[in-house]
Amino acid sequence: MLFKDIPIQRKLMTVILLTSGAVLILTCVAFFAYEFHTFRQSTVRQLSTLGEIIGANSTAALAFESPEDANEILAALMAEQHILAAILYDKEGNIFSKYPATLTVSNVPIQPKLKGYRFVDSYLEGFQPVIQGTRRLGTLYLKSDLRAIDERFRLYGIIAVLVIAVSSLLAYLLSKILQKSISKPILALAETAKAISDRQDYSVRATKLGNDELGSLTDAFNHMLMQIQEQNLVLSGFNKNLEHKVMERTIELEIVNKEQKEVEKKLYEKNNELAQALEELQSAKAQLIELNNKLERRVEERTNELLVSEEELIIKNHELKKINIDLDNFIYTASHDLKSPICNIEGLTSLLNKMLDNRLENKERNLMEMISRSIAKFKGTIEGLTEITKVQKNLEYEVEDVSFKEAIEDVKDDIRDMMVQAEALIREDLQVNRIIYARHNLRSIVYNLLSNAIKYRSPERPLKVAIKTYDEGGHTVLSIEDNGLGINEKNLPKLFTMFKRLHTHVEGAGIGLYIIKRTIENKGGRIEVESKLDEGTRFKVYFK
Amino acid sequence: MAILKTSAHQHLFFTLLIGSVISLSAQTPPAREYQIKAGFLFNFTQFIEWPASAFVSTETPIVIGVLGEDPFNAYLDEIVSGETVNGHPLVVQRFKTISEVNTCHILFINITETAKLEEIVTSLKGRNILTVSDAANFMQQGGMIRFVTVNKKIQFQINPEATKEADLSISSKVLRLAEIVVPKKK
Repeated sequence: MLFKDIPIQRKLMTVILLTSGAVLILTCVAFFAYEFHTFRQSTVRQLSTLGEIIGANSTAALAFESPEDANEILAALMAEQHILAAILYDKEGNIFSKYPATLTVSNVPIQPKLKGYRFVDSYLEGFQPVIQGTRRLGTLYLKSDLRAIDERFRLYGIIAVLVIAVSSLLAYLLSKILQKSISKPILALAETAKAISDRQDYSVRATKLGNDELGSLTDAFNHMLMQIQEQNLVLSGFNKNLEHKVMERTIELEIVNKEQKEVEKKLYEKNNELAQALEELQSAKAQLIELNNKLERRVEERTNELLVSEEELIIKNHELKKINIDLDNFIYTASHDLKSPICNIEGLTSLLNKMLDNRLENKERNLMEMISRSIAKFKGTIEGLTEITKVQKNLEYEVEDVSFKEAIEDVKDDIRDMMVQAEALIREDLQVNRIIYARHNLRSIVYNLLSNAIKYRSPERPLKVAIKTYDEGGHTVLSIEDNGLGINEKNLPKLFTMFKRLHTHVEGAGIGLYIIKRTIENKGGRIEVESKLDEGTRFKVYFK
Repeated sequence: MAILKTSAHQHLFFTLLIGSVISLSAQTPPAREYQIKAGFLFNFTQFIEWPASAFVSTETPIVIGVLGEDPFNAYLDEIVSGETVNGHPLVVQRFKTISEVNTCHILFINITETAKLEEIVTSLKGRNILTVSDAANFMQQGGMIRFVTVNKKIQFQINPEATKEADLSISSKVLRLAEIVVPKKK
């Protein structure tokens, strides 16, 4: 059995007994060691003292050579039973006297040896000089057994054993009584604890036996018991409550369960329906896939067809472009080639007019004037065509930092007569003034739009023109708005086409808007128009 | 044997013994009897205490005197030469008559002086001198120590009263060895 497993009473007693036993044994050992040492010393001292006495008494016997007397002196050693042998040597070192008388010479040193006593085997023996005054008369040899030590130690041993036995007994009895003061409260506590755990009875209380740590332990234990008891009470209340709740909940659950089962049943039915629906869906999906495939095939076919038609379109486009270029070349050639004949005709007509001036009748004169006008008109058309070919051929004017204000004033100077005649009211709001553009092109744009506004003014109201510049969505915008005749909505798409004139009451070549549209678009901008018949028109130019 | 100091003496002694030649001439050593007695005389100096007044100083020699014919020859001188007792060196002096005895501590009176014993003892009375002799009637005459031969062994008789009168203290160890003789007062 391990020490930690033995009962506490025995443990306490073992501790006490072992401790006291160890102390006793250690004390005895120390005592023995000390005694052994001192006793040997005192034995030597005693023997040497004895030797001194014998020696001192023997001087006369040695001096006057009386061995009988020496024998008598040595015989006195009989009183000391531990002396085994004593020998007196004369000053020459010969044996003079010995004790006991029966001593055989073979057992003892024939000659005296070194002075002093020493332990040899289990004996103490030694020599000491016999001196009278300052003269050495001889030597004394003494041999003692150590039975005295043995006897002493036997006695000590017996005493030690007795002391240990009695002490142990006393320690046993005392510890048996005293250990109760510790073990009893602990055992009482243990017993109480066991009773509680066996019977689950928390009303039991441990008895307090003192006011030491064990007393406070007992108090703490009892306090704990009290708390457990209280908690137990609360817990059993909880328990009942819980049971009640569990029962309620069980009933609820049963109801819910029933409902659930019904729901499950319904779900099952719904599931079946869904499965059926799914089947249908799947068949529908199959049909769809088929349809899709068909469609895809159709799309593919159509795509192929489109590809073919696109190719055709590209070819057509190419042809058209060629035709366009041919047309441009034709216009250029025509305008160029027609220029000099018309100039000739103009010169010749003017010459003819001068020559016939005074001879012409009014009728002829009118005819002549009509010819002149037609020539001028023809010339204007040729100039317009030349302008167009210039634009067509992308003739570039140099780009520079130009001012709207300057361009507008420039144009106003050119058409001042028209403006005065039309009594036009021109309002300007230039939020942006400068732009990087070709001066000629900007002037052309302003000129066309402003002259158009004057040309197509309403005879029923005084003309008002608003010129604005502003920024809109990263573009600089030039807006020119009038309150003139306006344009029929259906005619708007035709507005920017070549030689299209919507009003015939004013002169014009019908190429101005076409030219500026091309100019603007060539520079990456665009032109928009809003108009209502008999209300007015607004052109907006978005510069890049 | 104890008093023989050297092997030379031993050798000499054995030669004398074997040859049974006893010669008392001045050149020859004395008989063994007197050798032993010479030793005893020397030993007495160690066991007897003289009163302080017996010495002028602590270095004053102890004088062993021989009265009458000297039986020791030079032997006694040999024994005491170089020896000291309690710081006192030992000296041997020879006296022909008692009147010559001046400073003396032990006085050996030879048998040759037997006739004058009474006179000698009387003249020494009151002095701190230990008187020793072989003479048969020495103790009756008031002597202090007398050598006797018992069973061929030399022993001595002591008159403690006489020594006490001379203010000499003899060690009890010596007294134990001796035959105590106290003569009846005349």
